[in-house]
Amino acid sequence: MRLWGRVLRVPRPIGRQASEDVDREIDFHLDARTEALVASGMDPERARKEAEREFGDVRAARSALVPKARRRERQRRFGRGLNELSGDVRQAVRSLRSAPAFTTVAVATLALAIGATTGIFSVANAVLFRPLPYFEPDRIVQVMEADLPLYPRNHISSATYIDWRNDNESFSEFGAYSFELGQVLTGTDALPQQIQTISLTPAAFRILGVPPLLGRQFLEEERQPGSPLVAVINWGLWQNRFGGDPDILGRFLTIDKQDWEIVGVMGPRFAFPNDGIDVWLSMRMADSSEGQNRTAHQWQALGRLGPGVSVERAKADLDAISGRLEQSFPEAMTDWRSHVEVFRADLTRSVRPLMWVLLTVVAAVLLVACANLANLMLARFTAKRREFALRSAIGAGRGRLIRKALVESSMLSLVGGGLGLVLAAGLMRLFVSMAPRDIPLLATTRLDTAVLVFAALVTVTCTVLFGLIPALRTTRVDPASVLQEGRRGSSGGRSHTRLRSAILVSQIALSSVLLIGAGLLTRSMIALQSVDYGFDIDNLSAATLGLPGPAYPTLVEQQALLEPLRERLAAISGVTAVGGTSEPPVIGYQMSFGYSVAGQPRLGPESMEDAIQLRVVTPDYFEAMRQPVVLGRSIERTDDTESARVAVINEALAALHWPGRSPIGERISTASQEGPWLEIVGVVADTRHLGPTEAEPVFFIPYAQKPWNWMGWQTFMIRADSPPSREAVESVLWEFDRSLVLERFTRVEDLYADSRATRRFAMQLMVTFAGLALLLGAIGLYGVLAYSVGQRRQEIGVRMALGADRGEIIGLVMRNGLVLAAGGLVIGVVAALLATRFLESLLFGVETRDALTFVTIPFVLLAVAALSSWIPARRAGGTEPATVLRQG
Amino acid sequence: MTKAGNTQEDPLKLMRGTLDVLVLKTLSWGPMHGYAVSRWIRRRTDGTLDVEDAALYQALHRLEQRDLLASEWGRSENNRRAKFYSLTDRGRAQLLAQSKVVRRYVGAVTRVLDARSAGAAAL
Repeated sequence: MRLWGRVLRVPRPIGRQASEDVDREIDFHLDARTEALVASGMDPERARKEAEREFGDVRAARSALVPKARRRERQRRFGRGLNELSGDVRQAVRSLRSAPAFTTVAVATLALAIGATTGIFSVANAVLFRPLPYFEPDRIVQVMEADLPLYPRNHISSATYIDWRNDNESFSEFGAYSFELGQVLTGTDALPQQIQTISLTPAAFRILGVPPLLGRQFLEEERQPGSPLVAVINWGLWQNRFGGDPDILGRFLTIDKQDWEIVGVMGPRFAFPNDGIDVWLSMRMADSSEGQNRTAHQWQALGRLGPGVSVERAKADLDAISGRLEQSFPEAMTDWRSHVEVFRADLTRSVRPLMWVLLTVVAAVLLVACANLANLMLARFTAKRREFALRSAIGAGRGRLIRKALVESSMLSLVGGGLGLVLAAGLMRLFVSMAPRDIPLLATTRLDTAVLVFAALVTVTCTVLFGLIPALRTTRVDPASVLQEGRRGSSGGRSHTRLRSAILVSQIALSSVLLIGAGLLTRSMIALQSVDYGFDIDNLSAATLGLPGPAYPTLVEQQALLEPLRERLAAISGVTAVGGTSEPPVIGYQMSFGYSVAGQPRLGPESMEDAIQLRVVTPDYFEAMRQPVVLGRSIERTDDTESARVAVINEALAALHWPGRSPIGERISTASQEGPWLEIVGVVADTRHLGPTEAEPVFFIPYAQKPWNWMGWQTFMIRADSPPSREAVESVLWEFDRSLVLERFTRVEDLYADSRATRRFAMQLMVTFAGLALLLGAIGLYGVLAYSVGQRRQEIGVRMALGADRGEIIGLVMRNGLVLAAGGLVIGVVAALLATRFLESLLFGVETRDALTFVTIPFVLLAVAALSSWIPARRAGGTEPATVLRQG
Repeated sequence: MTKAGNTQEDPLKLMRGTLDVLVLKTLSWGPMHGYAVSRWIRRRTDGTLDVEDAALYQALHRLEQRDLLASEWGRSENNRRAKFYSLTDRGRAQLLAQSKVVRRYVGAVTRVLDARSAGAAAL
């Protein structure tokens, strides 16, 4: 404790010090005068009176003097501090400049570590921490329906939504929103344009609480069915499509041939629910759930929690309502409950593990870097022990020595941190460009105050870690003993060696945890790249087309366009097959439907089985995909409205209902157990349609037998020796209809590459950071051994003089290094066994305790350790006993 | 300066600024504490000037504030803690400059006051 007092020199309060000084000065004067008068024969009492009379108004003088004294004391202290500090700084600069290699390594290490940490933090800050730009965003919750136990986060049916909205006692506002699929904006003065829209109720806008830049949001009466169609547009669309027209309000947007009046424009920073939305459409909704659909789940809800209401209470409230609905509507509502989560958390749910893994990993790299620096500093200070001892012997307090050491490490941190911040600005951009595009809020990444504060905190932490600990250790010296050690023998004593070893061991332990993580992620990536998707993903493109509803209202018009269009696409040179589907791989809408199987008891408790994926495809689809038909037949051109309705199922669905039997001729229905029935005519191989995950049960029906008029969109899967260009496909579209929009045109390979993006991003960063940690660890090991060889030259010389040969000496040093590395490795492997489960969500096709990784990585690490021990070991082996001993 | 023959006369009130010069001059003999400065000035002027100690201390502090004086706690003759003042380089320069000003001022005033006799002598 006394030491801290000296380091920080906790002073007396300035005010008290100043007033005491003034009192003491005046008292001294009066006493001295009184004594003088008494000495000249006056009696003491009169003498005192006389002294005070001569002095004048003591109290007035005092109150005039104290404030001035206070000011002066403050200046004096500040000046002295500044003076000492500038002396320390000058000295530190001198001492750092005299060791350019050390300074360069230290600054570069710090800049890299602080830069990487701050860069990752700036991304994590945008995604996880920075408050969303809504009013009191922590009170905004995302509400979904939960279809237990399989789908805890399902969309909400309109009927349940309305019941929740009317009956809940937890929300001060409750609003709905719904994504609209594939909308096309047309206009007389511009080309058709694909836009993203959502519809939402006036309450949803009120919950967000962000006023528009121009105009207004939606009025409560505009929610009523039959009210005018109104829209609010985003800043980008206003600028790009309407040139920032100040008279935009009142103009109309034509979306899928419907006219929406623009009533407002949002500011450039506004985004909801993600930054891809161009237009917010007013959503119309009945006041009562009567007559509303309870089985079509298409809506999402946003709620503002009422005062004092917790997420849990709100969820219990909605669950209770759903429980009552279950009594009234057992068919539709059995096991349906609610999902309530703070909006931010809900939005970032899928990327939180990734972000935390990255933050942890950079923190580990930072620690490894600090450990390296601490060891460097320790070696440096140990070499300075004689200087410290001398200073201490001539009266410099330990506090002052520690302060000097801290000033030196602060100088390094300041420069390193400054460079690190510059580096972070660059790394931040790099990370954002490398990161998978579907990370929410990624685009809001920027260097803001929080990031700057973070960088400052990291820098201070580094300074304390690598500056203070070595300083505390090395300044605890007994001058006499150090000075007596003589010129040569300042090995810094056993305890310093132990500290250095401990730092090194923890550094290697951390590095091995990172390496094992990197190993697991690399293995996942390899597994991902060699996944068999069940169809040929190369040389296959997906062209998604949205048909404007009003122009193609029924299956007849849709078929009249799509079939000739498909044939025309197939005629593009190089194209070998074209098939249409409702669901392109990876990016499909994942339409699922409940179904029944004729003659089979239900698998689940409801009248229909749990929803499974339905795809509406054309006869050439399986050929274009190269998805083998394993049983029965494919969909044929003769399967049309005139013929019996058929379905093709995949192996997963066949295995679910007809294990070991042929499902051909069996019947399945998308409606209820009363049919209408579809006859299963074929079984196709499973495909990993949505990404690398396991295949799901799917059934396919012919587009020509599509029982609804909706689902007008189609994706053409184009198989080609040389994939056609987007322009080639577009020009074919426009031969048929100038208002058609190619919503999306991508190579299927790229879609799957995107589906690997999160894991690839995690792997790239993990491998980079683990490599960095390994490099730092190797440098650290080398440094410690080289230093100890340097310190032990005497001992080595003696050993060699006594007959130890080169090999023995090399073995001695190598053993030393490898024992340290092995120690770190053991701790690291144990820690990794505990830690890798946090990587679970990022792994694919590999266990969190993958034996291969856990065996290989230690060997890699030991090899690196051997390499970094070899150089100092060889130097030790080359010691000339005669020279060394003569020097002694 | 005229020496007051009669100590019964009221001591002269000090003119503003003059006290500073006196303090600086006093301390040019060496570092001393406030009480010593006070005694020194009284002794040198034989009580002609009414230097109130309260004003003296304010002057000391003021001069220290302006970096004309430095201060340090030390031991007095009878081994008590006392605050010692000493002249800084700036103080020394100031003393030189200010003494000239005071001398010129006093000289000018003196010449004016002595003008009649001088004029009469000239006539």
